[in-house]
Amino acid sequence: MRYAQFTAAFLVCLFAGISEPDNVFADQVALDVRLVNPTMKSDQKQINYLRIALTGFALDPAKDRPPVNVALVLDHSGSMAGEKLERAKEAAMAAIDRLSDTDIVSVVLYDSNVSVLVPATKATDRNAIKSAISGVTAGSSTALFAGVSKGAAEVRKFLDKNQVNRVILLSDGLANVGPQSPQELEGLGRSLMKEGISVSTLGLGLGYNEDLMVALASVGGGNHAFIESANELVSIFNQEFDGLLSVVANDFEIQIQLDSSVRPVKLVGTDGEIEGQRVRIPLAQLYSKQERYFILEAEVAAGEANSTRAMAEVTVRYRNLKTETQDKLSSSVQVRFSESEAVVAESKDLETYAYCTLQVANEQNRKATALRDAGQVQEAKKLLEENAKTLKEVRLTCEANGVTIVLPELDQLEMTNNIQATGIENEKDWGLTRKKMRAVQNSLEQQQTYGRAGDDSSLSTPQTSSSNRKQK
Amino acid sequence: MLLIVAPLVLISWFGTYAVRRQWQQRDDQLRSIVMERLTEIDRDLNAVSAKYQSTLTAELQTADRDPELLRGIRQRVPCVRSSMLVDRDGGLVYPVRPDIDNPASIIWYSALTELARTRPIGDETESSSSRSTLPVTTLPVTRLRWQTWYHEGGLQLVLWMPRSDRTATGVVLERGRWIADLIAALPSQNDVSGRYVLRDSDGRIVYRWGRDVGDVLPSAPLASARLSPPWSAWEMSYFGKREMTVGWWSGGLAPLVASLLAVAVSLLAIGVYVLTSLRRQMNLAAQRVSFASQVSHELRTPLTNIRLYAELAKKDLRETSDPTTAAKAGRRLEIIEEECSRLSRIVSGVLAMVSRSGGGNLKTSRQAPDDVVRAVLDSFSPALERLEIVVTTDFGAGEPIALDEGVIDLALVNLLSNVEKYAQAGKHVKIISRQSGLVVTIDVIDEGPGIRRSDSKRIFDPFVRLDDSLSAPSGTGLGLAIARTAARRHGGDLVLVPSSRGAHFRFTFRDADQLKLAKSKRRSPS
Repeated sequence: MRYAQFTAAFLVCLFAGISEPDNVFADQVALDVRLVNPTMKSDQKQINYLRIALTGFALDPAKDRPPVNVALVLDHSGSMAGEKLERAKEAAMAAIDRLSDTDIVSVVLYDSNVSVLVPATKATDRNAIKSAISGVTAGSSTALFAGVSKGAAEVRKFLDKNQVNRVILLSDGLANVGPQSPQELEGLGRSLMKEGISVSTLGLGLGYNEDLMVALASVGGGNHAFIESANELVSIFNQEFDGLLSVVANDFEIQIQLDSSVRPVKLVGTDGEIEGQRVRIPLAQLYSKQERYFILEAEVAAGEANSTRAMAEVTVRYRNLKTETQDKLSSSVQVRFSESEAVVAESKDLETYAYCTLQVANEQNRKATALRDAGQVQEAKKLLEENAKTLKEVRLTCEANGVTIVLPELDQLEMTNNIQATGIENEKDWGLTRKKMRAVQNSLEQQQTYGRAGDDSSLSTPQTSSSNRKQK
Repeated sequence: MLLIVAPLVLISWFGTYAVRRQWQQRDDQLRSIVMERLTEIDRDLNAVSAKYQSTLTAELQTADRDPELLRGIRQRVPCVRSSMLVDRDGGLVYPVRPDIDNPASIIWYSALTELARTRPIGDETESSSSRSTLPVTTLPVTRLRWQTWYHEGGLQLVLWMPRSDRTATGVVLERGRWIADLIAALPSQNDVSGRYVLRDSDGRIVYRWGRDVGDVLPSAPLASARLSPPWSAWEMSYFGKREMTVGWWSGGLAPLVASLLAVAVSLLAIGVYVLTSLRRQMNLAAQRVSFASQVSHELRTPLTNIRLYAELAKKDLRETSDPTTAAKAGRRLEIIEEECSRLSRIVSGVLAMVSRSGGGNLKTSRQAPDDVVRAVLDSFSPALERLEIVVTTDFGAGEPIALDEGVIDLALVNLLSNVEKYAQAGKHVKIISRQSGLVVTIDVIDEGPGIRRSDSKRIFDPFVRLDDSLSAPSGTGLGLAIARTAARRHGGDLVLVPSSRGAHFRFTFRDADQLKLAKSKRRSPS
């Protein structure tokens, strides 16, 4: 039920997103660059926020979709035995069924060892692949790193820029054989990203290390999902494949060249490289009809009243998977200076402001997790409550000014923060709450097509979920 | 026995020696095979570092001192985490200190400045020699050098292009990536047999592969080898595959042991069979010969006597009409009769022995046991007198009971005949009879050579003669067996009572009616 609501809400978002009359060519990614304050108060150094948004064009998954090259890296350690493994196999087999003859697939299993169950192959004989999967039995420990390494090696066998290259990692436990530090996994993820291979991580149950799995997905440009119960496996796999099969562009190179009077402070809620006046943002791919945005916080030197300054030049290079061409987009943004507070306030872009608020709130949410980790429960709770309050204020402002597009997201994040503020005090369910927090944080940062705020697993309070578990 | 054991011991000794040698050889062979395999694997891993080297040589030479191109290397090349340009004083030219407030990147930057200070310096001689052969405008050609660096809890690889002017361009490789590349270059579980483990410099397992790898590894690897540079602090080990040890067992030792055992068992069995059957046949033959000769001996004596006395009686009767002669003939005929009855006793004794089950029911009559003893003694008195054996008696069983005279007689005759045959030297025999209720005990004590303790059981077995030499007195070897059988038929027993000198036989029997009663009682409840 909740899931249906979420999907509906999400579709509304999307619909609103694409219904906007902008310069979307049929087969072209749209670039939109805006400032929160297009007009700034003159004669003083101020902070302004830049929002760079990319929107994927619509793609008919039945006809035009680019081939995928996917490695399923499945955990079959001892802890997976039983229901979990059965559901995982079922989910993997269902996913195989969604591939077509031009796709490439490999299946890698890991416990304390790694075995390549299905070496990278064209997905023509899907029944053979499925029957191989159905024979999988549970093993021993968790050599997660080696599993990803082998999965990536399989994808690399048929690496092609014109296809969607991805490793999908399923794990329910802590990596206990081989490298297991977040740095090592992040390093691997970063490296794969440069090759055009993205990594999605699916954490099952409460046993896995969410920091590790989220870090890998985040730098690896893939999705992360927290799968609370094995029953959700099939649907999560389906959603992951929905995304996978709807990628329209990849191999992004997003560069922001700032004017010399502008100092970049940071990218809000996301990672990127800042060197001098140049900002570079990594992006693995864009899904069909997905809007992906980034927020840059910048310090703008004082300007004269009524003057205009070219603030930033944004260049986006990417590979268009439909036309199989290397496309380039560019856009620039200017800022005006005014003496009048009223003019400044009036020109404020509320929608952009709301998106900024979302990302800032996400950063605050991360801080709350860190505080809770440090044992400062009350401080964390307070931070979450403040977060919810800010979100509410922004939501009301937007509502009052007729900016409707971001309302559902603001609403949901507000609710999530409120629920977390209550749940964070519950010592017993902290493991569960933390996994949900991490999943939502990552989902918001990566603006994932699924598993975002509003997903039933992030919405359900720890109390109801524990009662659910009792019923099972 | 020696014939069987000696070759067996030899065979097994040779066998174990051979197996041990085989093991040793297999072990050595396996170790050398494994070392070869490890070297081969190391070669595969070398290919990984060689590839980095060739890719990065091109990249670094192109980029040289250009920060813009160095940035490109970092952003583009998958195995690169950071690129660096170091000036002649060891200061970082690129990257520049990050001016954004990100602790992680600041820590990394300061680590890089540390690293820049320890960069390798270009070889002077090499560069000078190249300078002499190449135009001055050409950059001094230098080779790339690996540097290992411990940071973030593990080994980091740095590849430097050092220059003789003490500047250097270099890259820090992405640790997660090169580990993944090593793993990708190594076999996976379904490819190979045996168990291999790759460990880092801290002994932590990086990757393990091979068939049948449980979570627990054997303590000592069969073979270990360090990786080639730049991973020379890492170690690859091979652990004896479990199947393989089992394989040795089933492939080498077990069949050998089994076949040895089989050979030993069959040899033993054959030996034992041959020995026992041989002994049995020999025994049987000897017994037959001995039995026949003894029986004929035994029978000849009375027969000779019968013939002698019969001839004498005939002669007497021919000379006759003299009443004294007639009396003489009468006595001789008595002796003939006596000898005949003795012969028949022997025959019946043999028969009784042959039909061990008992020879039918007892033919009882009420008689005093002492009377039976006296009658037997009377029949022996001529012989005993002739041998000058003094008989002392102590009768104490005068109460009549139900008994089978024949059976008692058989036992006593055999006892006394033993005295006659073997205990002549003692010159004395004592008979004591006692009666308590319905049980009668008769002791026959002689002062002859006696019976050794070790023989005390054997003497009651049929066909056993302690002295079977030709000079020994005649006998069937059945006497005591017959006597004991007789005693047992009469509800008693015949035992040898240990004594200091001579032989002391105790013969017991019980009232035959009571015996029948007891037998019927025993039968009736069932």
